[in-house]
Amino acid sequence: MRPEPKSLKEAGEIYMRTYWPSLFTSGFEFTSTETPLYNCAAWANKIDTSRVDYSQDEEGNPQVDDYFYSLEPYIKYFEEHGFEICEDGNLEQGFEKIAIYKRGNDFKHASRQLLNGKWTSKMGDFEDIVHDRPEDVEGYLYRQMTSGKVAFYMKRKKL
Amino acid sequence: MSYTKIYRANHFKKHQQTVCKNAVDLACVYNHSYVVGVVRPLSKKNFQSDEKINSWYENTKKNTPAKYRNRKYIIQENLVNASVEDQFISLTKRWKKETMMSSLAAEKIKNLNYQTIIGLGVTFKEKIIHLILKDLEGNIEYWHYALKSITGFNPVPKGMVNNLVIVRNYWLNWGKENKKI
Repeated sequence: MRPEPKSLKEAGEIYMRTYWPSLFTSGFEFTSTETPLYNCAAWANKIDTSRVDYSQDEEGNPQVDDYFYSLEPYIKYFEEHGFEICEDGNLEQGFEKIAIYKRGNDFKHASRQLLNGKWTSKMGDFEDIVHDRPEDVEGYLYRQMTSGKVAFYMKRKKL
Repeated sequence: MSYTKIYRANHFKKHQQTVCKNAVDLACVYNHSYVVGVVRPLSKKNFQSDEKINSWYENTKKNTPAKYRNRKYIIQENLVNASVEDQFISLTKRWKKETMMSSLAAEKIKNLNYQTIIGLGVTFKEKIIHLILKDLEGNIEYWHYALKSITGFNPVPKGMVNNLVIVRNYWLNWGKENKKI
């Protein structure tokens, strides 16, 4: 039996090893420190000062309507920021791409393609990581917390 | 080990209703999978510090029959007799660990440990507000909903909740103005 994790960082690494095992076979690197300041959806849109989170209302109460947990508000958000749905996540000159992940119809995660074709993801309150393929962070079920499967890709012209 | 009884996970599952009848009588997920045993009434001294909890875990594990050691178990801490501060610390640690990979505030808010902290705040309002604000001084965390629920007051302007720095500043200012910290 493994000892109980001593710190949140250690716990986070165990989570990652357990629920995203492919990350440890294909390889990844940490590119930030841990912070809850921004989340995966914000990071996909290059924001690192606030969160993009429709699961709570304007006053901070958790939303009751399933709509706010679904893909729709996030698609709307990314469309408002110039993205449109595209076919694949292949590197395309002049465009930046993001991958949207879902479980059922629920929004679960978003990752962004970098200039070199690799992908960057913000892992909850944990660090940002750079990984090779969007599928590397497809999540395994852990209660409600899973990054789901890639649902589709979106792209916009490079800013 | 008169206060400890070891159960297998499926046994715990079968008896979960009975064992978890109290909100603060929490099941702790050990190693993110399952747990180690069911703790019977513990005295206050077991929860005075982390060292004591850790040494208690070690002793429990050492005294666990060999045939059970490599199986999946459930540890249940009985925090009923622990001080409010110890309960808060323990619940906060678990809440952070269990929700650290979640990107959605609602998932963090709906976590059982978080809800239990709010529950404690109903009974020990001043103490819990103080402890949350102290935690907020050192960390940027999702304490907005808990503080709002416990105090019945919302100092954060509408639409600012996704900026955790601003939310923190509003609550810390509120705490200072109202002499909560």
